Amino acid sequence: MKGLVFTTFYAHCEDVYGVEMLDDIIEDADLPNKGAYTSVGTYPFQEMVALITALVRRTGLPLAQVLEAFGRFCFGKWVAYVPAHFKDKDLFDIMSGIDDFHEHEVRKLYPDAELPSFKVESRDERTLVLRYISCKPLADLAAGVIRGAAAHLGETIEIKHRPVADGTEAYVRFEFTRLA
Amino acid sequence: MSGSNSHASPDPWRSASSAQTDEPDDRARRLQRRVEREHAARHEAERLLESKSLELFAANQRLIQLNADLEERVEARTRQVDDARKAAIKLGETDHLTAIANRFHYSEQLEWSLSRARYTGRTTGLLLVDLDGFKLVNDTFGHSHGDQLLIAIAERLKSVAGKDDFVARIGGDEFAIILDRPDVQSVTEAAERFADVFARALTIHGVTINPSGSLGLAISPENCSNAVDLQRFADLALYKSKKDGVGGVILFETAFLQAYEYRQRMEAEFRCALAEDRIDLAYQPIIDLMTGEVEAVEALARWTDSRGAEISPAYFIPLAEQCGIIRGVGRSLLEKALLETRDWIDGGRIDRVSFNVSPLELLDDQFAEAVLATLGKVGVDPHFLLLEITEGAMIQNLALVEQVMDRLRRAGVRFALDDYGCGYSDLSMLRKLPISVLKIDRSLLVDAENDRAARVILRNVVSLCRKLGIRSISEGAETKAQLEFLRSIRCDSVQGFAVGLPAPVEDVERSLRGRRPR
Repeated sequence: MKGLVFTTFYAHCEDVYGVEMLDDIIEDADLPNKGAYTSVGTYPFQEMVALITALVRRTGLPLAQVLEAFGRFCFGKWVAYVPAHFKDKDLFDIMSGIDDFHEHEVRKLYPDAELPSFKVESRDERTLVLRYISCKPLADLAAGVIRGAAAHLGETIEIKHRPVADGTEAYVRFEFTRLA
Repeated sequence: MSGSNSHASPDPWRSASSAQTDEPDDRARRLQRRVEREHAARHEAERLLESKSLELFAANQRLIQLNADLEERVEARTRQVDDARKAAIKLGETDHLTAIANRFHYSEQLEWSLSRARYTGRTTGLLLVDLDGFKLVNDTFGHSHGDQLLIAIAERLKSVAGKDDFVARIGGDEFAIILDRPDVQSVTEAAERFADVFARALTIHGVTINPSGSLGLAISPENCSNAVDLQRFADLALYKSKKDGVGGVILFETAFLQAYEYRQRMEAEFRCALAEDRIDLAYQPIIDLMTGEVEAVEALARWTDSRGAEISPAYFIPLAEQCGIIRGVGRSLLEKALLETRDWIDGGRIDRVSFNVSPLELLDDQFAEAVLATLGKVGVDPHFLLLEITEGAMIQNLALVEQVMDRLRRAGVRFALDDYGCGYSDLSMLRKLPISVLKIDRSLLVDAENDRAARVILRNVVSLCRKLGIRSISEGAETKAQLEFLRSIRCDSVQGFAVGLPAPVEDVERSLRGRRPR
């Protein structure tokens, strides 16, 4: 996993839970590098799992809620990084274009990054159905990103997601519905 | 999971951290760990950046090397393409047989030379060289000899040429040399040297060939200033050189152009006259010296041009030969002659009609059938036709001539060998060819008056004819004394002003009218 995710996660923890909480979960996670991450490095995904697990234990919050909050934070960072990409866009367009965003904005900096994929299954004015395909179980984090985007554009949406394994591939089916 | 937008409140979790203890040791320890973590992260970042820099440097080096390789390959490929382009241009400009410039390259070079001369003020000479008798070499020895002859002549021309002279092969046996010199004199001097190309014999595949060529020269700006005219004028000079056959270089003169234009006009007029049946025939009587009676007539072509001038057959027959219509002329006039003399023949007033045949007609393998078809069409028995031939055709292709004559002889047509005594007068012709009549050239009779040798020859030729069963006719008799002499040597017949001028068909008709059949 890219070091940028770790440093973003640290920023999110400091921002939401406080720097002492960050100290604690680093301590709890018992990381090999004592939690010294740099955005340009690459680290085992298991270390992120250990940090999130520690955070869940310390806060007592459900894992889904922790991941979703982190997802929203991530979206805020992206908007700050490439505001033009999200300016005057429709929410469904943004979600349908996540793969393009990965390829154009992320891949150029992190050519070897393991990025999730969002493929459009169906779309109309009100509802968008996406297939979330990732080697990591971070569907809740993805949901947080989408919520962050909706909030950024001032939209209210309902999100439903469930894992699907149809024999040929395993993915998470996301259904987004505009509420207003 | 499902739900609507929601925000986690951070505050409860801040209080859940163990860091809420205010113990100084703990705070110091935490700060210490943070500092260590920051340091470690910074070092890690530096290490990674350094490693990435090295990686980028190496990648850059590889790119530089790759770029250099690519540039080298592009350069090599460009060189290859350029070489191929130059080779293609060279190939397109080269005559494949002789490896000198071809006609295409010559045309470009001539334009270029003339435009350069306009700026330099120098003189450009165009020398055209044409091999004489090249077809004969091909026909006699085969095309391989012909090709080798062309290669050898091209090499000789190149060896004579100066470094700035341009030599090209512009036709089957035609070469062109473009000369760039300061003045007319130096151009003509340079051109003269090319005549030496034909001075020495060549040995090709063991056969010795004495090459012969005609050379015509035109000069710019003296004669003209553009390539088209220069080429035309050099062609006219070449034509003159070929026609005269004297060797050496003929320099263009304005008179050649006038002669050419006259010839062009005459050719057009002659073609028109032929199409409109305005080529007439006159008939000259041939007299039996024993009886003094007309035994035959010779048909002679007559043509009056649009300006009312009588044009000599000595001019328009070669003209018809040169412009390739002699066969049509011959067939048309033969039919006319047979139609006009048929009644005289049928009435038994003449034994035969003589008709002159061009050597080119005799070299046509369709000639015999055409003559027989005309005889059949007009309704004249072939025995009444005497075709007068000269030695010219025999020299070119005796075998073909023999074949044509044999076909006609078997059908009954007879032959006279014309103008005997002024050319080669090859006696073997009398033996090999089916000759019935020998027409002795007028020059022998003219000389006989004052030249004993001429008299001896004339007497012996007549005697020879008698012994071979060939009828002798002496041409050009103009005086009574000549007639007496011919009678004394027992010449069979005579033709000439002394016994009858060529006359139009109506006049001959009148003179023969009422004659008893012979």
